[in-house]
Amino acid sequence: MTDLSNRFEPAQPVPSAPPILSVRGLCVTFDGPGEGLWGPPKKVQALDNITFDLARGKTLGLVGESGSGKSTLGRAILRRLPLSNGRVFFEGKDITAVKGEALRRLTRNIQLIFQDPYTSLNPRMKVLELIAEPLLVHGLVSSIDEARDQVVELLRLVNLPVETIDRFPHSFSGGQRQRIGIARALALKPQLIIADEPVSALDVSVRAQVVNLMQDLQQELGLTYVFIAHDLSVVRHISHDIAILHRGHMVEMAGRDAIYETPEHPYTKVLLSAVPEPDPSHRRNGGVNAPKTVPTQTLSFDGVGCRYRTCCDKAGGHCQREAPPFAKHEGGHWAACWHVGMT
Amino acid sequence: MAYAQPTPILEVRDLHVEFDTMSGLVQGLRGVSFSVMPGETLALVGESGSGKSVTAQAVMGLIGLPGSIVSGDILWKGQSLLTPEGQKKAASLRGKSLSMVFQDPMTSLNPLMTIGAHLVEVLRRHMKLSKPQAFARGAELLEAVGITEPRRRMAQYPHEFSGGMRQRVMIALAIACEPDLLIADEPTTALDVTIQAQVLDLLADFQKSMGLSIVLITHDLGIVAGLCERVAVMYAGSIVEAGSAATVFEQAEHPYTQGLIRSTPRLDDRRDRLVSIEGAPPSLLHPPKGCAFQSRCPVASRQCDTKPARQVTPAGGSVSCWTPSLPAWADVAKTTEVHAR
Amino acid sequence: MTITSSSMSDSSTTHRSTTPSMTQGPLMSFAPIGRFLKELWRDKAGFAGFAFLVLLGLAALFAPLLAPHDPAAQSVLARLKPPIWMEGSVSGHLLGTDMLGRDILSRLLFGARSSLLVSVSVVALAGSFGVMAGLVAGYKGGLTDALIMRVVDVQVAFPGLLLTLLLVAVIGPSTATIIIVLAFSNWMIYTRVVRGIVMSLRQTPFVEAAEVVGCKSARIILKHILPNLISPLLTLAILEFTNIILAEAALSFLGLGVQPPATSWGLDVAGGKNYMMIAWWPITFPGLCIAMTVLSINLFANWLRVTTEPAEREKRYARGRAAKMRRAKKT
Repeated sequence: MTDLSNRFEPAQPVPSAPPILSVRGLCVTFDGPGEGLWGPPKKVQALDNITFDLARGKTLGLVGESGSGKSTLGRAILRRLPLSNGRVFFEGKDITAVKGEALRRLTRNIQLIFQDPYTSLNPRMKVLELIAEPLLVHGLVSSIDEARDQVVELLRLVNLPVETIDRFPHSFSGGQRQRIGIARALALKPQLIIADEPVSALDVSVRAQVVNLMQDLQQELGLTYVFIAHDLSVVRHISHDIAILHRGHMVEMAGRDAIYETPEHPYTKVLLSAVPEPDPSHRRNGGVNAPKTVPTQTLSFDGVGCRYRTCCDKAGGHCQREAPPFAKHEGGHWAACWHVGMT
Repeated sequence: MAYAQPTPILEVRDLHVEFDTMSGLVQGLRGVSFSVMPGETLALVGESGSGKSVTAQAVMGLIGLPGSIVSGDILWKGQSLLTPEGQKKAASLRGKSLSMVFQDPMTSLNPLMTIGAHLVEVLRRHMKLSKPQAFARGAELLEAVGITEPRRRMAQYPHEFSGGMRQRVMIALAIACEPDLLIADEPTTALDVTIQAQVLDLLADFQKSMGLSIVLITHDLGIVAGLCERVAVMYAGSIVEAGSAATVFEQAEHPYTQGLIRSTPRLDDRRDRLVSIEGAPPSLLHPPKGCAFQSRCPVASRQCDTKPARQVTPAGGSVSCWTPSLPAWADVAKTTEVHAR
Repeated sequence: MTITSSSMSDSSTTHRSTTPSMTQGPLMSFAPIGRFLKELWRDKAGFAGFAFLVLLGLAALFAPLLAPHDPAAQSVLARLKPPIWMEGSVSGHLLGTDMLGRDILSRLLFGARSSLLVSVSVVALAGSFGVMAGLVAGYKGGLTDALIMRVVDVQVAFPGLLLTLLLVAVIGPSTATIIIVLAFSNWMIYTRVVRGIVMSLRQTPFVEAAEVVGCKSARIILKHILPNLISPLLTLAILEFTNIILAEAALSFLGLGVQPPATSWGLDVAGGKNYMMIAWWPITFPGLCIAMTVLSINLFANWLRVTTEPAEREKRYARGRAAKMRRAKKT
């Protein structure tokens, strides 16, 4: 394993409290399709050497397109996937090898909010059962009815009417269902919440409701979020830091304003320019710069050099020969590109 | 006016669609009217359940059980498509002069047919081309939608294409018969942002080069602004505001439109909080008697208990609201503009 | 989507509570059963099938009260008497008598008992074992799954009739044997179906959600997965029911099933076959019973399948409404 001590320094001048979550050199490999029918499965590197720290009470926005490994990273932090390399520390404790009952207990501290509020709630369970279930399975209450008071409290917390407690999920709108999902995640009073594209399946008009709620909850309860998103439009409002993933690599990480105002990696710039703006003055000039080739988002990319080079207009000889390290640049900006700082 | 108004290519007049479900009669569309001029791009914007997709289905003649068109009319170049003769005509229009791109390109392509076979079939049926002609034209079309090596790609199956590529193929199929109107129902919702940008560029490109009319159906105002000239905002089965994109985005009249614009995140926006429209749209099973937006509207008053009529705005659009152009969310925006960090 | 889950749970609850209430007539006003019957009434074929099954169930239950004669009582004088509406019939024997002078109606009523007893027990036994194996195989995956499914494969590959004959030969024919033997050779289909559904349910976010909040496997299987299996299993079990009725009849026909003096429809068909040319009734009536039961079950199962499929159910409702409106227009 590479020595990371010099590659990763605390972004702020020595924070007083240790980070709640530390990820060091995390790698995840999947078995891809084999050669032919009987060939051995090809290894696909879904995540390669991911390293970051997350301070308590802060939000890390994790942005990447499909195939970037962003959801895999979320699941890896939750320890639902085997790592092929690297370590995950939660509150200073190494949770890389946690298994079985200890892993189940860990779920009290790290929770997940799902992308699709339509399929992530069991259609046959009432709101009460859904929200009380975590309390029940961790032995915090002995019956669903005993949890009623706590569930009412949680419903208030996520701004859902208390009368809804005995209803089934199908009678709720998408935004309301996502609130139920959030209440369920909060039931165990976790400290870290991984939100896996919590608003992607919602209408744009409802996204703001959920994002604002998550911000309120963070302030009120001191939660720490890893907020996964597939574009840069919503994350600005909720994140303190933003990390950009591309094909299993972290290509850039910085404070949120730095990402939006002084993006360094070419991929970040592409992502920024792709976000549609609700402003008719940003009209598409149609065809003038419509690219003729599509950068494929596949994970199976091997060979040396920068993984972004095939879609990069700046790619030079150096990019072909050697992959750029994920290194720290001026102003706490982390990026993996040979061109950063060379303007 | 001295000159005659040109005939709209598509006109929908006071369309009512109902769904006779087991839980009751759902009023999917409650009086939708709009028109699309030749070469014009219209966006139908709304939340899920607002009726935007039902409108598209009605125009495409795809309303099946349990739904039915109860009243209103759909006119194609001035002729009704709902009369018995019109229905016959409509059947020949659809897929040719009037085509559609769906949200999910995977389910609209036959997994057992090559991309080439899809194209050749459409071209032979509607354009009456011979097989080699159709093949050549198919390759041209794929090239036009930005697919490299079209002849090799035509021998491939849908699963060998990525999501963005499939949507390009769908667009190629939709424009194969040189349609007059293309209805795109959430064409980019299933795609990554960078791919979405490319697909939108592509649509804009064809709109210009072919003089195509486009009806873009979406819930995201962001993609509307870049592509469409006119916008119609739908809420609870009817259009609450319509007008040119420039005026609607500049000075939205309806509180819902205002809220929709403000809740759409902007990259240049340093605010820590987004404006949000609280609450959820009303059930169309028992729609409210008055203004449908009343329960979520920050400036609702007594008169909103009766349904507001459609009125023309100074800028030439239309709005259904008792207090149009009243800034509904201004105070909210001000308080949240504080930089907390 | 919204109507989906409610209607699914409705139909399963209504169905479960149907049978007891049907036997207690006055309770029919009970709301869910009323709704169930109202919806069933719209599908006349399904309703007919259901009605026949209910009557059959009642007949089997009250056979001792309803039967005019002892089904085993022989009478040399009243051999092969035709049904009551034919010439040469004997009063008191509504459907005539068989070659030993036994009352055919009474035999049918008691035969229904053994047919239903065998089918219900076999479906319950094979179903619970098969479902359990399928749940474990589908949820655990890996080696457990491979092991269970190989056992299933081997048993499916082995000729069922041969296995049955072998087992009956070893244990000796009796009603209990036939139940065990049929259960033993019919559990695999449940395992296969359940495993398939469980494997796809495992991928659904709400199962992952249950894992993330810390549910243990047992709870996930019983609370989150099993309830979603009820509707497909109900249909499968009902269709299996017909298979068992036929299998029981076949085994009894071959003399390997229900043994005299007990009765069974299959046994009666076998007994009647030698006299088929001179008297049609000893073979026709039990044969008709088998056919009618199987048909009724299929008609009802067909209705049930649509009812548990929310989209199909919604469509059927809309078709019914549309037809009603067309009729209203005409008059």
